[in-house]
Amino acid sequence: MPAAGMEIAEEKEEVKLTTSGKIPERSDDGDDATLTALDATILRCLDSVDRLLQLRAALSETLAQGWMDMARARYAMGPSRIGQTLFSLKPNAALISVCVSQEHEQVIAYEYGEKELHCEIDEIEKRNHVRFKSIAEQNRNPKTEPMISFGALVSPHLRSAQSSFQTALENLVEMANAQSIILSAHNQVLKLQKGARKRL
Amino acid sequence: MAAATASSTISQPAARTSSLIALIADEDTVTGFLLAGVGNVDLRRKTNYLLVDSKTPVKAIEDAFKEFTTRDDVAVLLISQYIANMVRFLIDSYKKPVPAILEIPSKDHPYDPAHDSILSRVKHMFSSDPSGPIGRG
Repeated sequence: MPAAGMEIAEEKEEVKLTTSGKIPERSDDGDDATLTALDATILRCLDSVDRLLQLRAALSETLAQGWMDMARARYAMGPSRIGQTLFSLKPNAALISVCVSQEHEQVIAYEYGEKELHCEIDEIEKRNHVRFKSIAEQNRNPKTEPMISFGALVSPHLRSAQSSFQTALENLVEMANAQSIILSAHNQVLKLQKGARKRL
Repeated sequence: MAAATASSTISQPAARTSSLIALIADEDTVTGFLLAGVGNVDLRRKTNYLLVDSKTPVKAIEDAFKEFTTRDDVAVLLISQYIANMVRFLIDSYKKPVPAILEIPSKDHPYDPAHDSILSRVKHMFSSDPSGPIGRG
């Protein structure tokens, strides 16, 4: 009896193999290339998303520190000494600028530097290569220092808040780079998916 | 002729422009970034920032967003996320690479990734729902 049961099982197995059909072969090498490109693009996108989320966490901490220092400075100096009424509306250029490297209407990199530095056109070694220039304190002109709007003697907490927001600006430029990569990868994924659907 | 085509195929150095950082945020955030040196006032007394408080109408925020995103001298637009939620339709339909729109937290409203436009697009990329946050092609 057990032998008959085993024979029936073997027959069933043979039927399974013959009727299951073959695994469809890849019809075109182009499909492989498209899928490989799609995988690479998605991985690049996800790496950038991970980087962006890390930068966001750092930014939240930095900004929180800046707001806390500003609250302390406002407590020490008085609420009227720090506020929008003290914003200068005289024509003045920004001390901080962002250099944007664009190619084919796609942002390659954001750079952050002093307004006085001119962006030189030079060869970029890699796409999405991010370079930053930190602010050199000795290049800051005392006459254009934004702190002047808040008086000659300011609380050290206000200087600490200034430093926090400067750090936040560097973070934000890195975030802009990561976001630029995400958006370009997202557009590329949509194009590749459309192409893959057309082939099918 | 061959030399001309060869020179045309050599990748030109990417155009680089020096641009401003624009800002739409609450008083403390604007104050902080102005301290950092972001503020710019031109000869017509036009600024690169908009200070939003409880009395600021949504129309003013929309106009400022449209102005900053169409200016040639703005590379990055920072906008507090709670303000971005008021003009979410404008941000979701924004497609240009420059200026980059960055949503930042504010003192009273922490950052919520569920509302971020960029992360929503990435999430939609992996979802089975063919319709996106907006009618996208």
